[in-house]
Amino acid sequence: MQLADTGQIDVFDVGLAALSGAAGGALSATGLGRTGQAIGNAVISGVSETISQIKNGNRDLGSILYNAGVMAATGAASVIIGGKGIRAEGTPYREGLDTLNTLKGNYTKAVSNPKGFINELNTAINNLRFITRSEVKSTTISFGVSNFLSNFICRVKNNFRRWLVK
Amino acid sequence: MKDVLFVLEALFMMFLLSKRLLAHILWMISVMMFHMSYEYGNVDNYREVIKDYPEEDCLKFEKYSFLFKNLENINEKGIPKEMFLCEKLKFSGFVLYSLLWIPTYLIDENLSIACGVIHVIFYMAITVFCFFFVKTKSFKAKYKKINQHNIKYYLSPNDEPLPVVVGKCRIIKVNKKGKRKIAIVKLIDTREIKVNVEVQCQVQMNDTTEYTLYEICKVLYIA
Repeated sequence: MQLADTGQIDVFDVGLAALSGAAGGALSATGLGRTGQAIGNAVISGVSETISQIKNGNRDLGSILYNAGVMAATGAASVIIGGKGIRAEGTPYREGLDTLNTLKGNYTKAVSNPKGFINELNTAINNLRFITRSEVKSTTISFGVSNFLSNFICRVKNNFRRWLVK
Repeated sequence: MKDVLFVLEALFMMFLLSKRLLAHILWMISVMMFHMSYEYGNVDNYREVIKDYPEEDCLKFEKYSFLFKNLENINEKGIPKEMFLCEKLKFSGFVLYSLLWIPTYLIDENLSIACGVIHVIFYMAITVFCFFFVKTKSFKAKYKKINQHNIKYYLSPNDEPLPVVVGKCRIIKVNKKGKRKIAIVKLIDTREIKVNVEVQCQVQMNDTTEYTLYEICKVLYIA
C-alpha cells in the first residue's frame, strides 16, 4: 500500500504496520467477544498511530491525541463492520467446540454404550475439523479485509489535506 | 467469488491511491465497507447478540432478509429492531451517496469529497453505535445491570453463568430508579430481607403473591 501511495518503502512504517497487524491477529485468536475485540483493536490502532505520529516529528500533544483518537475509532469500527475472532460467541467453531465439550463430559453414556459414544465423539471431532478449516478461511479473509480497510483509511486521513483539490 | 471480489476491490483502491483520486477513493471505501458488513459484519454481530436479546423486540426475517445475508436459517427469533433500522439507514445512505457522488463530482470535486467523508463517518458511527446499543440491551436482558462481577462477560462471553434460584419471596416495597424498578423483598423460608432487587415483571402489592428470587453475578432479581 505504501508503494502505491509514495512510490517507496519506509522500513519503520512497514514494521509498525506488521507489528500492529500481528497484535490484531493475536487478539482475534483469543476467545474475546466483539466488544472486547473492538476495544482491543481500538487500543492497538491508537497506540500504533501515536508511535507513527511521534516518529514523523509531530510534537503537538493535541494533534497526536486527535489522530490517535480517530484511528482508535476506525480500528474499533473495522472490527464491528468486518473481522472478528474465530472463537467468538455464536461462531460455528465455538459451537462445535462446545458440543465436543458436552460430549466429553457425558460419562453416563460413555459407560453404558462405549461404542456408540466413541462413534459420536469421532463424528464430532471430524465435524470440528471441517468447521475449523472453513472458519479459519473466512476469519482470515474478514480480518485481512478489515485490517486493509483500516490501514487504507489511516493513509487517506493522513494525506487528506495534501490531496484535497485546491 | 466473494474473496476474489475483495481482492479486486483492494487492488482497485491501491490504483486509486496511487492516482490520488480522493473522491473515487471515498466511494470505494464506502463500497468496501458495505460489502464487508453484508458478507461478515452483520452475521457476526447478530450471532453475538441474539441469544439473550428479548424476543418481543425482534422483527421477522421474511420481509427484510435481503438486507441480511445468511441469517434466516440461524435463529427463529428474527432480527433485533435496532439492527433492522440501522441496516435500513446504512443501505439508504449508501444508495443515496452512490447516486449523488458522480453528479456532485461533475459540479465540484470538493463537494463530492465532503459527501464521501460525511458518508464514511456516518456509516462507521451508526454501525458501532447500533452494535453497542443492541449488545448492551441483550446483556442487560440476561444480567439485568452491568457491574464489576459481570463486566468480563460483556467483553468476553466465555463460560457464562446461569441464574441461580435463591428462593420464594414476597415484596415489601418497590421504588423507581429511572426506568428500573427496585424492590425490597422478604424470603419466605428464611425470613431474610433482601434489598436492591431488580423487578422484571408486573408486581402486585399484596401479602399473598409469591415471586421467585434469582441471582446472577451478585444481581438479585424477580421475574
